[in-house]
Amino acid sequence: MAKKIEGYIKLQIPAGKANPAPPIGPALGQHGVNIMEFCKAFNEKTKDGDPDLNVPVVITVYADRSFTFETKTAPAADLLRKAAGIPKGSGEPNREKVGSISRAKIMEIAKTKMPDLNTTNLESAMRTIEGTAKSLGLTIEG
Amino acid sequence: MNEKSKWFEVEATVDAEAADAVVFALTELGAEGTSYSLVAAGKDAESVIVSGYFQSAPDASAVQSKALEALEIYGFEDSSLHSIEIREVVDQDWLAEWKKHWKPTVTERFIVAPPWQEIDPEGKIVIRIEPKMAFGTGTHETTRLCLKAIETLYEPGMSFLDVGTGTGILAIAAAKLSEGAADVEGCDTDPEAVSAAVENAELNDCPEIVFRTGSIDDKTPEFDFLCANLTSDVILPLLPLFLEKSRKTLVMSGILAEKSTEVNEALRELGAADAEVKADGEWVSVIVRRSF
Repeated sequence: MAKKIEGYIKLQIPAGKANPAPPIGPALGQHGVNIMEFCKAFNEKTKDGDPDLNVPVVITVYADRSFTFETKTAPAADLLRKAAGIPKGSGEPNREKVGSISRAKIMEIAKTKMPDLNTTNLESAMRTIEGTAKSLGLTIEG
Repeated sequence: MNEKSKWFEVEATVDAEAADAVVFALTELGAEGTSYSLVAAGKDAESVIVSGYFQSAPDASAVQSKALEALEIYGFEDSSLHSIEIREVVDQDWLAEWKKHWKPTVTERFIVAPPWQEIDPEGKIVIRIEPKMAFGTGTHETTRLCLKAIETLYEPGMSFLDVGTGTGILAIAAAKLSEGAADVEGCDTDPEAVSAAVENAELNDCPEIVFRTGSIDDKTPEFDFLCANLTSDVILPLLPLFLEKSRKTLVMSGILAEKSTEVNEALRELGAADAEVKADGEWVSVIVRRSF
């Protein structure tokens, strides 16, 4: 069919936990997108995911308000926090360090995130992840 | 859904390219979820509004400094953040909210409406379509153009094939006009659409329609009426097959007005010179009818 794209909505929600409350309700509601249908489909697709991790999702809204969506890999910050075992990042990342992470772990996360980063080069993906790690107040070891 | 829960929304207006940095900052501050939309603004918009939802009111200065810090990390200037507003979200029934946007699509003989909407049929054929993850809710110009072609040119009993069926709406329209007494088929390359179409056929009491995943090919049998609401880039290479497989009427839509000449020229080269073009907004349908 003639799929004319009206626009995109980007959300970050925990795996398997989509419900009609904010952010989904207001974000989808104002564009006339079927909220319940999205929640069902999203929860089904992410049911085996880690509920502690946020899943970025891009919803494509078509001109007749039908939609499709695509899930992306969890945000680097979430993966780093989980790997370092810290609940949240540092308020002052340059002065107050809250934990550490190994270079091997950085590489692992970089590999996970590769499909969603604007690079096919592992080195540059690792640099991006390292930047996020530093911004969380993590020191990098190894 | 917890009806009584209170929410606070942080609305940050930022340069579009810096949106992800602000999403990062809001998540770090403990937002339950974030969203930004490029619907109203358009894909090439310079700035977007990033919303973060919190269950307790975040501190405005903390939001400001976290956002600026995130921008620095991501390599953007402070000036890419235009404004931050924090407001309480008025509690409402979000499920009811999205339904308010829906209005039935009415043509000469059909009314297309979502299942929950009360309507007065006024002698017309009612088609119920739950708007989901398949195209063809009835509201789009191209769907309307095809429905109009079907209601004027389709005769009960004609065999009917819908290529790119989406929700199955056009196949359902034909099946309704034939009251079950015709061979009606729909195909779509997207299996998700095919399962939506099967559900919609049941919802509309048209169990006789055959839906399958796939497209049209050499082995496809001939049909009296062939409908293809696709896009011109998909239609053009399939034109010879469409002409070969449609015995009496061929309706094609999903064609932008500016592309109709191209489709018409291709038809002329294939020996179908007298195609009819109907327009609705920026979209057209191209109809080929055989007299033999």
